[in-house]
Amino acid sequence: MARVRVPSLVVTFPTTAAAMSCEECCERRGLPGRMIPVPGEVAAGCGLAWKAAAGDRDELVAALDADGVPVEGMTVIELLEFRTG
Amino acid sequence: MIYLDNAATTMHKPREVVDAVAAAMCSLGNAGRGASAGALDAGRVALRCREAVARLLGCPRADHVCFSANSTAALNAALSGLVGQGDRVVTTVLEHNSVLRPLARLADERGAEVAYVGCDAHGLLDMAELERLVVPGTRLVAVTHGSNVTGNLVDVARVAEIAHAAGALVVADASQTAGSAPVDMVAMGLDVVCFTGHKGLMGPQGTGGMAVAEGVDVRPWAEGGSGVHSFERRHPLEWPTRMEAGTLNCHGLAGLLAGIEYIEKNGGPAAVGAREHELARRLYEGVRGVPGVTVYGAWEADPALCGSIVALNVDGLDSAEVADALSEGWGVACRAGAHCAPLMHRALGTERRGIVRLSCGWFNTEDEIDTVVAAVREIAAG
Repeated sequence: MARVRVPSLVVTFPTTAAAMSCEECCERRGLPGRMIPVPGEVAAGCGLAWKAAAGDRDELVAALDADGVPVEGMTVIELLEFRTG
Repeated sequence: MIYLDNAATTMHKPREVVDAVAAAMCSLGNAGRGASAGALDAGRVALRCREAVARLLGCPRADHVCFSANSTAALNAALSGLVGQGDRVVTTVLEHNSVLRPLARLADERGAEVAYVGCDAHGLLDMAELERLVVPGTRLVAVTHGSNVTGNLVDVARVAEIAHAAGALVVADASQTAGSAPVDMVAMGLDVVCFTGHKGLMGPQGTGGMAVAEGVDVRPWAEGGSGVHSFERRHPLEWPTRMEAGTLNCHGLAGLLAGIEYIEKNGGPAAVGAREHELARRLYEGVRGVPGVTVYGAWEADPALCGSIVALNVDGLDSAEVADALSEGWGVACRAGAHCAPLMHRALGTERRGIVRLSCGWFNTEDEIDTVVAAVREIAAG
């Protein structure tokens, strides 16, 4: 298993409640992504973040805006992924 | 899923706990509100749970066990009810925000003077510094019985000796230890012990409370419905009512009672804690010395002071990345980040990257631990 770093969109939230609303919003709309622990590079402390592909940003912003989901920040950073073979 | 986040909550509960909550939800009324069969049954459950907690914590008076929603609520109530204008309080860098933030508020709003005792490189409390900081006139010492980051246990009996010699009270946070380490308020000299029901006690979330030694005057934090003395302007001061404004969570307490009885049936906190400690030791032994893996806590310095947590980092990786890799690759549930204990991370130098906390519980198995060891080794190997 090899570990590689992949540019990823990380969305952070002011509250856990907002993070869960993001997940519900994305699942309902069929948007890709998943919840991850907030990387230390983005913010220190407790918290959840939404991880998606860097190219999904515009669609995600539109969906979260339409649903009124509060967002703290969005950034693209390289995150670890494990690949077999 | 391999669940190794028992320091956050014990997700796997004894069947008896689940059944007790379900039965309570089908039968209990409101404790202390009338004399209907359901109300009386709820009162009986609350009393039996008080008695069980008193047994568990060595509290001589069951009516000095007061229930709340969790440890945080109990700690807020205890600290707010004991610290007055300008009082000096000593606490430690091991504490959770459930102690640090209420004390910060008391500093802001009541002018409390708060001093923080440090720790060594293993995260062990600096008792010499504690002795220096607890000067005569100190109102209280707020100390955890076990760090929620490293799992290190604190000799709270020694802390109490030092505190009492200076005339200070001791408020102990047993969030991480109740149910998995022996606590005896009288023998240890603890004035208030705050606990939560959903961790080592294997009960439902939304349960917890405090046990208060006789003669310790914790002023009520919340006031409101009590079921008694309805025409009095202020909340009654009788125990335990003084700390229990509003409807008790008797559905939850039924589960908490079942959790405590389950622990007693399995040998008590010492036996349960020993089992959890052995699992953690197996995990520690499996990852210690692996190139690129740093383990925190007292495992090398004094394993007897270690609870059931293995806290680690992998070189070159953020703790969140390791936790995510464990989850995605091996289905391991654990906790990365700061664990709401900022001063502990500052002391360990892990403010930026956090720590991967693997916390063992009663229902974990040796096979699960071996899988996690293999996973950590593979992640570290890159």
